[in-house]
Amino acid sequence: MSEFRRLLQWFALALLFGGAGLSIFGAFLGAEAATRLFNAPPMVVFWIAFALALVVGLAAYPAAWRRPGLLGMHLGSLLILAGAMTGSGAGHRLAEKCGLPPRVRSGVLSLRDGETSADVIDPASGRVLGALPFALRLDAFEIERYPLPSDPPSLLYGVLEPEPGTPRFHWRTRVLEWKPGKTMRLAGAPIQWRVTEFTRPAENEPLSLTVELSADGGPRVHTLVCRPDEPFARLALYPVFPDLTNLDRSASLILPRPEAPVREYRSRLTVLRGGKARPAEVRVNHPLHVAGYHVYQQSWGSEPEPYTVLRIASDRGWAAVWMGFVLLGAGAAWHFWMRPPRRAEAAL
Amino acid sequence: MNIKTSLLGLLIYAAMGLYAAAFAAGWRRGGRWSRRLFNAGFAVALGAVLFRGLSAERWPLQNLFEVFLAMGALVWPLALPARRLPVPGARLDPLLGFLVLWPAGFVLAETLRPLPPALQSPLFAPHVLVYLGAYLLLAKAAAVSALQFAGASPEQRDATDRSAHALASWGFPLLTLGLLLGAWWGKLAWGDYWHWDPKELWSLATWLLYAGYFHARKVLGRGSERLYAVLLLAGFAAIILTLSWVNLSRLFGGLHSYAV
Repeated sequence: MSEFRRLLQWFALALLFGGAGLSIFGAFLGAEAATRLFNAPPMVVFWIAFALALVVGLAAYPAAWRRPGLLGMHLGSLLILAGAMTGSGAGHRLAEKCGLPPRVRSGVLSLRDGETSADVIDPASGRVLGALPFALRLDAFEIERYPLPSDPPSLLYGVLEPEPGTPRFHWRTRVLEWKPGKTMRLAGAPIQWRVTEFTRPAENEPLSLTVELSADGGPRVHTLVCRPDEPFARLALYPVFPDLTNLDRSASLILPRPEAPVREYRSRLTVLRGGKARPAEVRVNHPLHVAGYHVYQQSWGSEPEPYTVLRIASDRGWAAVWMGFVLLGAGAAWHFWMRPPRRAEAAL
Repeated sequence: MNIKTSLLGLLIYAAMGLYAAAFAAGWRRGGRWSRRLFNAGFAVALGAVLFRGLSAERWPLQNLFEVFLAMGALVWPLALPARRLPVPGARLDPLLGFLVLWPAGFVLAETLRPLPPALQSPLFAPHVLVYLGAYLLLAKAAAVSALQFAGASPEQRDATDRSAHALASWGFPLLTLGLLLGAWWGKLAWGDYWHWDPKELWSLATWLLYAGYFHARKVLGRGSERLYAVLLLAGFAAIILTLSWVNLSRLFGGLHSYAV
């Protein structure tokens, strides 16, 4: 038995350091590729091995059952793994095969003002993943903003670039760092420039910035004025310096109108379920729970007209994960903090 | 180099100066003056944190500048329980305070930004604070464990190992709570408790390394103190990368990019 326990301990150690290595490798891949990696069949084997090691470990060490901290940490980890597996895509498919009613695991639901829908969409492909057992109607979408910061306006340098595979062009811009009165050189063009005057951003007020430009000849002064209803003002540089041969024809100075940062955004909804309607509100950090699904305020859009984007997630497995969090957190605190270090070390 | 001339900047430099003086006094004259200077450094660092919090009208924990500033003040309360350890590392505390304030004083901009909607959660402050506490305790555990390689006697090495283990034992539950609070918050804000985001993965790797350290002690027992020291140093390297490189490098774009 002691040899088996020793093997089990080495196996657990290999799993922990292997998991750490894989996590670091996954971090270099980015979230999307890492999601695919950690949900791929070989990794499912890894997770199952992890869960089994916890189960066998708890069975092989009856003494651990008398140490609430140690028990909580291991049982908590097991519950988190079990809950995560249940809530995964594979877990949902397995539950369906076992006769449980089918559920959409996660997706988004976009609603315009007054629109009602129960269709969950895959945000990547735009395809309908399934219907919810309830419908949501958007009564109002509200955005609350902070006051507009009164920082000096930012100035951009931009050139037009073709979009590969399309007949369209888009602006490639970079921010120009500036201080009032300080002469700067425009990288990529033989032009010197300095900001001589500017106004600070204010609601419903024009934004202006006066810039002095010079190449070979004397300085030329231009003022960019962005009216309240315009997103930006632009000064094309080529007409100012038509003799500069190495200047991009589309090269421009751009003065964008800053937007006040968003403080809060929320969707006022009506939940339509079983012939009944009830009002509800969803905002960031305050999801709605209806019929086995969580509804989150994810984002919003404005083209062609304003709409809200709600994220829908099945709550399958969440109770186990939540209990696991409590057990793991409380277990770690109990095990490491409730005893003097020497005793804690001896018990480990 | 980002040198600050604001009141906040001056407070940071004053706290750094006091911590540096406390460290120097600790080596030259011993405990009393060092402690006084360390206490004064803490008072100034705490003043800087409060000033920032009052200016921002929120917990000053939003970005790396504020995080390093808060750590500069947290060093002091976290040093108190360590004084009873066989190797207290009291001389290291002012140095740690000085080092964590360096990025706030000379590297990161103090630009005040409003809190985005995702950060407006009651879990924001606890999540960040427990992580900062864990990072400081585990940094100290790594520093103490590095003494394993200083050629000390077996008794001193044993005392060093026990002290490093005690510090890691205080820090690990905080690291665990930080990870769990983050996952819980992620579920509330983004709809999933885990997104395989680079910052999350580095945090998980860090946690697994420290969990591995405690398991290794169980598997190997006494006699592998230098290996344990290596594990604590590796865990601390992972913390540095999680806290700085993952946020600052464009290599790791993700959900936590607002933390820069």
